[in-house]
Amino acid sequence: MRLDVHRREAEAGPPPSAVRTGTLVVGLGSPHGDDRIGWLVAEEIARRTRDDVAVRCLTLPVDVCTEMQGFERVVIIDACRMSDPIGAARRWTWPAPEIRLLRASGTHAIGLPESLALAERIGGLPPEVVVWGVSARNFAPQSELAEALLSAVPDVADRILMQDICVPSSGGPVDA
Amino acid sequence: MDRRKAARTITIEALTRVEGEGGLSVRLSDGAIEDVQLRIYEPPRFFEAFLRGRPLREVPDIVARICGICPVAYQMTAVHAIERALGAAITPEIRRLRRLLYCGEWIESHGLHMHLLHAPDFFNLPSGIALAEQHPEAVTRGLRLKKQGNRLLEVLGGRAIHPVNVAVGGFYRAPKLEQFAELVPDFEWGLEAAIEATRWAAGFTFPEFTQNYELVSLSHPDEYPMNEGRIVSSRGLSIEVDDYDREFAEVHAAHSTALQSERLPARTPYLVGPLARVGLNLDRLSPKARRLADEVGIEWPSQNMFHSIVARGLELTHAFEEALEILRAASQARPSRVPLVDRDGEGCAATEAPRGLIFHRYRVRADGTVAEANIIPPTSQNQRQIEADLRGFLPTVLNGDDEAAALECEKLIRNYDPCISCSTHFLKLQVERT
Repeated sequence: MRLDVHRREAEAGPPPSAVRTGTLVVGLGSPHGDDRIGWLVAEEIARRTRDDVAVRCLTLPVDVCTEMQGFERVVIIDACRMSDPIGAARRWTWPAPEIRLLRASGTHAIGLPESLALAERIGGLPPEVVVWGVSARNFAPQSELAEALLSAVPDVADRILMQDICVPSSGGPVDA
Repeated sequence: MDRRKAARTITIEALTRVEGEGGLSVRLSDGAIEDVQLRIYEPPRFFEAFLRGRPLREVPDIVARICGICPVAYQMTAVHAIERALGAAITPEIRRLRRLLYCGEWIESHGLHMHLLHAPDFFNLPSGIALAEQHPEAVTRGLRLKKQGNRLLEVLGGRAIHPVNVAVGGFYRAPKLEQFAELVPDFEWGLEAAIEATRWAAGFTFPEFTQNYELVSLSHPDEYPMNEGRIVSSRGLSIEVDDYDREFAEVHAAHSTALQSERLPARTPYLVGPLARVGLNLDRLSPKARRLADEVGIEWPSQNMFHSIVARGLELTHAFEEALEILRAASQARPSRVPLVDRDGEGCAATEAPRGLIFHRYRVRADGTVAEANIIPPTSQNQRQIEADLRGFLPTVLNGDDEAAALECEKLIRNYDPCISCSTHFLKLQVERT
């Protein structure tokens, strides 16, 4: 499957000093198996929202620090190992302990919790940070995304749109 | 009680802010150091065995998996070695683009290590997060610098982690030149920020700890070494890469799952990495980096490993300056890769990973598969030198308590920016005192 990364600003984004408003949606993931779910949900949201919602697909959690500066709200979607059925999604608000205490899995042990803590220290954390974890199992290199996860994409996107972006669930592009 | 003679055990459960995991054991007797072992205990990864029988065109994508921080180093070394085995010659345009890709990797790796992993040591802080609390502007700069490197890797390599666009013979797809133009303004900022970061690092207080290193790196007559050159050392070595096995050997150490490298015939340790590269190639740094090297108040070549953070800053500056030059002058590489004719052959190559010299050798078959592979990463080459450093350094810190001694040892090791995952993995410090 080919993944198109939706970027609605110039590749680099505006300089950190620029004041930005609105919501940033970040899909965290990689091309490996179920780890793609964050990207797919972010892309689905990009298809259904207007330009006032910025969408990024990132691989390294630490890159979130520089991406989210200036936004009012950031919504991060990532694959998550948990006991829920595959494709089930949970929502947390930073700094909920479930997020703060996650074991780091990024390179040099800079995972999502460390990256959000870092952003907090450098003044780059938006007032509202929401993290959606989607239950996933298989992260083996070059493996395929589970069918159950692929089918869960529209529903997870619906929930995020309803709860965090305030766009009615339509299943199709808004303002069509 | 005299702590130097008391029975003590110092343990670091896991070395932080390095890539991978491992341990360090120090045995003391009557206060004297009897043995220092850098234990790399994670299982071997068998990449060389995985490669046997695989199509040689798959090699760049397989070896990239050895490391998420320096995949380009593995890809570059592999493609050069295999092209030599096949007798293939790349075009000057492809060569320039490969240097540009390497600049991207140096930028992301050096930017991250300087600011988030290494700098906290000079403020006696436990992490990049703690540093961000005191110096948010410096950490923000580090994150932005790293991001520029990642963007370059995305544009040229297809993605930042494990790039997919590197092929034996060139690139699968020619880069879009308009994307190069988009990078220029941010790289202009990056160059100035790299200079600022280097000056910042040069202002740190460095422990007075010098060793008599044999510095080893590639050296090229016309350019700062990245993809090719002779292997030279500060003790007069100057050889073709083909002769690597004559001058260097890998040996098993019982306490490590990674092979350790040593210089032949004396079986001595040696140093690879930014401090060695700068020391041996000072006059080939880019103009701004060269001027900066004179300005920072360090006499090059330096024999103090704590200066490595400044050497990294000089290379960061160089990488931005060279990348800008290539980005501004880039022309379309056509073809994006040269044709290959499979044959029986053998080839080797050495390139300069962010952490130091990396060597690959491949034997390939006429059916287009790999018969044999040998990969020697920089951290396993530095492993014995790290142990030698610790032998020299420990007496200066053992009068303190165990925790303080362990922390100081960690700092020394972080000078190397070791990538234990590459070498096969890494740190627990255990000191036995009898």
